[in-house]
Amino acid sequence: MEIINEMRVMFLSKSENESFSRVAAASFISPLDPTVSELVEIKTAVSEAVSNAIIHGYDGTIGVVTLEMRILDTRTVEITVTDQGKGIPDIEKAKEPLFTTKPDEERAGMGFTVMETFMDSMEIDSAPDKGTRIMMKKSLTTDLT
Amino acid sequence: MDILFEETNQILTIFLSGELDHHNCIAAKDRIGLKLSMGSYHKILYHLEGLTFMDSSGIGLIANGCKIASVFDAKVYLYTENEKHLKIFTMSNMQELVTLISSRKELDAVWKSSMK
Repeated sequence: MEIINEMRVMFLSKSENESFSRVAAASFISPLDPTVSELVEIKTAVSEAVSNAIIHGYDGTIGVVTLEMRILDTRTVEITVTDQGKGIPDIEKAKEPLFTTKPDEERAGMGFTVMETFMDSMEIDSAPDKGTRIMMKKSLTTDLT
Repeated sequence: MDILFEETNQILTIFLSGELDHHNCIAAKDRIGLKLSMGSYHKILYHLEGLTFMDSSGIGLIANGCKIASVFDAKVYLYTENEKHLKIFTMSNMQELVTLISSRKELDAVWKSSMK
């Protein structure tokens, strides 16, 4: 697939950066003129992935979260969110709806379900004490050409 | 994110506006929890039409309110016409905890009957 454009931003695992990551993602894809629905879905998926890195990956400690985005073949958006946190021991379990390791904090355990629902595809690479990488893709429907 | 409370006859309406994510959810949860624990309400309405963004943090926020509301047996309603927000709530089976209201007409009907 041809890479039309790409960007990478790195920021500390502070929860106030969740909104920054959404704004960065929205700005990057704005030249593609996404529909409001597509824009909301991408912003929500980015917010979930970044929240996952901050809350579960670094779990109160400070590390670096990397958001990478690519535009492939003119209308496909690829998003990768990476952390070097504690990793996910059981990915399939973590993907189950309503599963959370933090029930006492009223976490919904719906982050991965939301990402899977709002994006076309989602893949997770993770290893204990190494970190987690979440890769998502979405093809935008409107073709301006 | 802004939170506004409105009380009438032991009915509490909680207006949320702005962006709701995991960052500002903690403060919102504390503020709403304090308000709920200080009163005794028959009905609680989460009015989310002012929310411009919400991720899955909204589920935890509402679920926490329902837990507190269950102490005084209050019925909880949630009003939003935003399709994405409704999708997030329904995929987490929130309708088992609250009455989801997705139109102004439905809201008016439910509220008119609750005032009787």
